[in-house]
Amino acid sequence: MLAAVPYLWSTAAIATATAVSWALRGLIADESLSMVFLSAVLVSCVIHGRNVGIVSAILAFVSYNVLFLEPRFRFSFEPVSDTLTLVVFLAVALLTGGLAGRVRDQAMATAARASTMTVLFHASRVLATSADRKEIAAMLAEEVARATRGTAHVFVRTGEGIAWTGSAASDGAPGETSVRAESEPGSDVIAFAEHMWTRIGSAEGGVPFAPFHERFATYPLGTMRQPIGLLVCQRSSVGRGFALDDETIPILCELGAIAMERAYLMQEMTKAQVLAESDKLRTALLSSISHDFRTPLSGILASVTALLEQGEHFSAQTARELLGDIRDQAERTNRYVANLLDMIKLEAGAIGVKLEPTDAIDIISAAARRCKAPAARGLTRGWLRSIPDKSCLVEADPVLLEQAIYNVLDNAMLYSPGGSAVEVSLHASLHVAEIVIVDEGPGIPSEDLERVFDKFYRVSTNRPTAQGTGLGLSISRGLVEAMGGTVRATSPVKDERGTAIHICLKRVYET
Amino acid sequence: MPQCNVLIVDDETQIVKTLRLSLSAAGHNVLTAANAAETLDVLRRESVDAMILDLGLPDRDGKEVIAEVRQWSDLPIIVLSARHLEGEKIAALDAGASDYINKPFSMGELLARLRVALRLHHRRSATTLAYRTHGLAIDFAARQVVVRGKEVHLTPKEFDLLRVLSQHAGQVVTRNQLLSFLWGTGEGRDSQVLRVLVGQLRQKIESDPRVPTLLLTEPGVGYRLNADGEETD
Repeated sequence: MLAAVPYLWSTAAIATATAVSWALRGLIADESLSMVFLSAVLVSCVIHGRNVGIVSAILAFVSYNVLFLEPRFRFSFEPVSDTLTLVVFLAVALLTGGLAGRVRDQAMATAARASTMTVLFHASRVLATSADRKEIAAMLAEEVARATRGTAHVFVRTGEGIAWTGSAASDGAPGETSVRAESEPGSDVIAFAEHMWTRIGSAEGGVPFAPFHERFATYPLGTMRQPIGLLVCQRSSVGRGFALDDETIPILCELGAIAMERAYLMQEMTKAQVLAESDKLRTALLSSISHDFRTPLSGILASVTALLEQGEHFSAQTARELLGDIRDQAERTNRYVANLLDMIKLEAGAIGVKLEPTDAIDIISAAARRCKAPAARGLTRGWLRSIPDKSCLVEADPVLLEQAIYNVLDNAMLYSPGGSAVEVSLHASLHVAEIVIVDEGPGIPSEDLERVFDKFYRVSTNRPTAQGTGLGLSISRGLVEAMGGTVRATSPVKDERGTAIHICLKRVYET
Repeated sequence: MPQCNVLIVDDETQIVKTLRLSLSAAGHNVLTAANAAETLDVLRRESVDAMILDLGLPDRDGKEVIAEVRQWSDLPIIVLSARHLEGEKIAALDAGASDYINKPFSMGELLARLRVALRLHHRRSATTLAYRTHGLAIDFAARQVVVRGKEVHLTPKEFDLLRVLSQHAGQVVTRNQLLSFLWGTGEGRDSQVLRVLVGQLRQKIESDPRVPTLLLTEPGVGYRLNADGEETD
């Protein structure tokens, strides 16, 4: 019924003109009153175009004739003068209507272009935000659904065929909120898309792609190289957006295809980076294995062969020293194997984590006890000075937490100058407990604070042999993170020396 | 310590050889077996006083061997296991192993564990009335505990906990074993109760409860009463 509004409006305009003329009647000549009606016709034309103008011209002529020309209150038609009046009215309506119509059409075209631009701009901005093909497909479907105020389905190539990746539907109303994502379309849509896909495949070499069907329209998604998918628009019964064969949709499709291509390339790039990364890791692993296994093993072999071949020339004390060396080197190899095992298990995600309320102090003292165990005595140079005095429950796996703390303590003792202390403290807030292990070693340059948790990273030291495996802290972090905690390093602690390792875990309370 | 027959079960000949040398040097008579079948065979034929068992046997699971042996013998069994196999260790202990030691181990540590196991085994046949170590003295009949010369008052549960641990002094007792001893059944019971009880007992018997020297935690496995330098009546 909206179409009737302009006609009602023009009728009202003519009625107003009639009222004004009635009021002016007697003041000016009746013939001049036609000007008032002419103005009303003009206004109707300008605002509502030619058709409305013609209707109002006829209305104006009838009103003028009946009310203001003799004989009054009766329609009479004098061939000459009345024909002239009618012709003038109609001529004004036609001419003005034509001009106004053209202006209006231009304005509408401009508005449509603006709205197309808005749609395209919005789409290109949205599509640029994602690097995930599935997400881009869903976004493209949404944009097309919004533009057509219909339903859109996006299919993306998988090997030889295509697979549905995203759909969206508009409820017909304009605006952002009217579009919602849809679940997988019906089998008719999928069958149609698959059919069209085979046609795209066979339509190589410039055979025109015929995308239309009584209910669906299809557009290929493709860049210069090859089609990478298909867009299916379903005609909507309500609302009216862009015509389905409008140029906007192919442009949207192209934007979507470019975005998907970009996502694909980025994915490939990440893969390549990961490969390069694992290649680097493999190299590090190889050089570490050859160094960390061979160094202690050659030490052991040297000491053992010395004892075997020249043992009778050694004093009892020398022999004991050599045996002590063998023990230390074997201990070092063992530590390395244990670390490698832990590392591999962490990398493979094969660590079973059993979280339970665990007394942090209890675990700290168990780890400290292991550090002081006789077997490790040959390697530790520092000593453990203090244990925190607040009891505190954390959510942790006691075995893994003990290993994590042990690794940090062990590392701290290895890098501590002889006799200096390693201190452990515990700081608890409402939700978090922080275990801090501080050594008096040389510290870590601030740019390397994160890198100490990298695999095989060793702080350069002027000590002739670095005893660490370069894995301890990395494992600690892996273990603590597997328990939902965090590990970080700060340095220096005081007097330009010392490193603090902070292990943060979630606190729990007695129930 | 009188001469004992010790059975070493391991399929690693190098380890067996070293253990044989060390145990012989310590005055023991050494028997060996390389798999489960041989083990059971030796146990039936010989009078064995203690067994050192590697859990990774070629023919059968070491835990099954323990369970089978426990049907007819209470000889001390010390399990050799890798550090990271906590679950395996607990299962072996719950199946009846007396103690465990992580591989690789130092010989001194192994000999100490063996001494503890043999001593506890010998004593179990006699009735023990008292226990004394590291300034801790327990009179089982009078339920009296003296720490560093001062008598402390324990609740019945605390006393029971201390008694179980002291009866296995130097050996680990799993959380399941403690729970079932103290509350009848370990099934489904929250081990937090045990942790709290251990905390209370430490407050009363340790000179610094934060750095326990008597009642030690074996993370994830259980508890051990430190028995180094133990003297008994």
